[in-house]
Amino acid sequence: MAPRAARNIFEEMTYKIPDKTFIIDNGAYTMKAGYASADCNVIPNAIVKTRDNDIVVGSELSTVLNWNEAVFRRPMEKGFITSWETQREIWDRSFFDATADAEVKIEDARDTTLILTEAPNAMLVLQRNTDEMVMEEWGFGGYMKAIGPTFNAWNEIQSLFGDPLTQSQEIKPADCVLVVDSSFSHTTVTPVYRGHPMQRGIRRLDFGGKHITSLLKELVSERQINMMDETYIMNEIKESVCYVSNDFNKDMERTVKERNRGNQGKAEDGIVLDYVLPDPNANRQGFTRQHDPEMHKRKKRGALSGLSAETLSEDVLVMGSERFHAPELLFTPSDIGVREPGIPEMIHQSLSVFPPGVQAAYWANILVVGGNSLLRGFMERLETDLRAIAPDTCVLRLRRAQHPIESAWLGASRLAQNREHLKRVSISREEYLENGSGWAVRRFTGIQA
Amino acid sequence: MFIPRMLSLRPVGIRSFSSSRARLNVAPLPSSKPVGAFRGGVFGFLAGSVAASASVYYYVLGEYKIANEMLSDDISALQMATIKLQSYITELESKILIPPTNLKMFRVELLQDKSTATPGWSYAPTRGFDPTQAMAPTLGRKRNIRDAGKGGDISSRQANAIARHITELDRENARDVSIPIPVRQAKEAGARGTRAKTTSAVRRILQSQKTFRNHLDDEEAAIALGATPSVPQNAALAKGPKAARRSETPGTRKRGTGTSTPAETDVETDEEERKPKLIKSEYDNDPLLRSYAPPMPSERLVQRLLAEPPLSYKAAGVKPPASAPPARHFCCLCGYWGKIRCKSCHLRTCSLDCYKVHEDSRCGAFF
Repeated sequence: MAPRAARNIFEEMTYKIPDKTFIIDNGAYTMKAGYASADCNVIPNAIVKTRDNDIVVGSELSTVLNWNEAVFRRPMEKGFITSWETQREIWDRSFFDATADAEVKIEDARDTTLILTEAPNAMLVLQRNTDEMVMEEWGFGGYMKAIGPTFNAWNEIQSLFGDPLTQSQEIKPADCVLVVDSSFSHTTVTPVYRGHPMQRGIRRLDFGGKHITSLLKELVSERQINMMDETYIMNEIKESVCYVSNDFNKDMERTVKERNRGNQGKAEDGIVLDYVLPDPNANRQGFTRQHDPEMHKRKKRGALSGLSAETLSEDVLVMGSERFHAPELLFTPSDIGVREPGIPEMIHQSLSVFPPGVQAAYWANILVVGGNSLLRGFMERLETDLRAIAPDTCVLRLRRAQHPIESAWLGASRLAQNREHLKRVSISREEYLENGSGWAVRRFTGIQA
Repeated sequence: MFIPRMLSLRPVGIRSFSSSRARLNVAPLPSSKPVGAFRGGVFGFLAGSVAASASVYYYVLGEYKIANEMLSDDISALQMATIKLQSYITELESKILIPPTNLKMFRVELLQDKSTATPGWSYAPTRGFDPTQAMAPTLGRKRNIRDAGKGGDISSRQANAIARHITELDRENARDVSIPIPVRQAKEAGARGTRAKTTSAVRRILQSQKTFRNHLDDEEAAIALGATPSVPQNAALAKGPKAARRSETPGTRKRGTGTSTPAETDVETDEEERKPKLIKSEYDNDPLLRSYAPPMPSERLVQRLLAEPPLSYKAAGVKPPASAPPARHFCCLCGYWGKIRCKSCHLRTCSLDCYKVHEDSRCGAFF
């Protein structure tokens, strides 16, 4: 990459970066943090106010029992840190306080090298803010920042694609990977060549997990119970019932049939489900069960129909076509009227700016990461759609990372084991103090001023 | 002719009786002189008249020529004027035919955004009409209703509704709430003590109230001013390695990856790799199904691709596809195909049953 050339050999000799490496994959929904070669910790990146006006930060979110009407304050907007006030609070509580978890506690920032991820195509001002905060507020001894998806290439993905393993002992990134990252605030496609992004091919679709949850919230509120305030609960419902349809028209017909007559077939492949909402008073979690149209009719008739008190007290959402309508947003955004293409077309647009040889290499190495890829049917649907638009001369191979959410963190952890490379791409505290934040931004983006 | 005959008549007229023959023979008749005053006058007159007529002829011819030239000049001037008029008319026509959205009715100037001395403040460029912030549609209600269903382009009202829907989807909390950052106890904040003093840059960043939209506006204004170089979409690169290589000048390559990729070794090692390679698969023996991978471009081209600066945020977004299947519509009550459109609020329902429920309880439009 370019920054390597900008550096002098003597500089590399003079400045040392600390050996201890701490990695933060700062996502909009969760931060993936931990020391290199240790375990990855997933920490929610939010400040939450519950209905009882308790304010909880970051990892304390797991202590919340009653999620009704919880509201969120997030440091990130559209995948970029815009509110450092919030982000500083969460980082301080999670990593620097005396009460922080020992696995992710940073004793002395001067003695630690930080590897930080960032969403692609960040504005230069935001990048500069990040660098200034990291180096001036916490003062890390060494610092490296790169586009998040590029770290995925450092994972051992040869075995995932069934390629022969390289014989060399040196830890190297994969040659060509097209990283499709479908995350909380957006979905991006990043062509990565030996760990470096090919900037001209990076494309972004402004829909992610947040939008799926919001859409589901809207659909349910319009049709059944008002759930507009229940973001957390709707997110749980999304994670447990939503799936990406592989045969949209057929699923639509099946939904109508099951809604009217109930599911006559096997329970596991029915589309219409009943989701019983969580009841914090009775200390009960939300759960799904088979749809029973008879019971709904009886409940409507009233309490005299001989149902138990427990059945009558519970709130049930009937999840039918909503299950696959909401995630369909990623594949056909035109369903809500937007004139944007879905993920398959986005991949095609991204690759169409490359020479044919490069295109072929990327078509054959598509790696899908991000939380949305965990939706059932996501990979199958993506593969079906991509087969339709991929050139017939190319081999199409598509894999989901083993741990889609932590994948970038794991890749960074592997990168950190290659000390020579890390030294080349990171900056030390002394260098920063000498050259300033503008230099740091240029260094990490590779723009020659 | 006339004159010699007159001369021959004279001896006839003066013949008379004479005795001396010799005297007649000695004194010969005086020889006749051909030119006299009379004849000279005739000749002079003739010559003069000829000269005069010739000069008159040439004068008239010249006059005629001049007149002719003037006429042709006039004609060509007329022709030019016609052509000019024609061009004016076509220009006018083309200006009239441009859709009214492209007509620049007012001049938009971008303010300088160089100084960021005051935290939290900057000049943002005008973005024109922003549907998400507009309280009411600007055009007449009737026109919107009339244009709503006409295929192809969507009406401004629908566009507003979609834009508002997207901003709603982007929000996590249904209500606008401000969550204060919890006050920290002294012992919890103990870690703070070892840290360096807060610098001015950090203070500026922490106090900044800029939202993502402000930053995006700033970036666009900067690009409009030409501050940040954005990568032009170079069509030559997409065509193939050869076209791009030709355009590559050594001067633009500042990157010194050092001695690892000099041109000679590059070509030699590449020759083998440049041939299309057989992709290993189970169909290798089938002449119809086996496939060859196009070769990877040269290392130099790849390095050039890697050295490109990032695109701007806007430029990296997906573009609308050139052609798309027709939009699908769903029932707003049960999620089945939306076949019926409500006459007052344009929401879709699938059947008369759903429509009745919608009309009775959900339809919120009163016009």
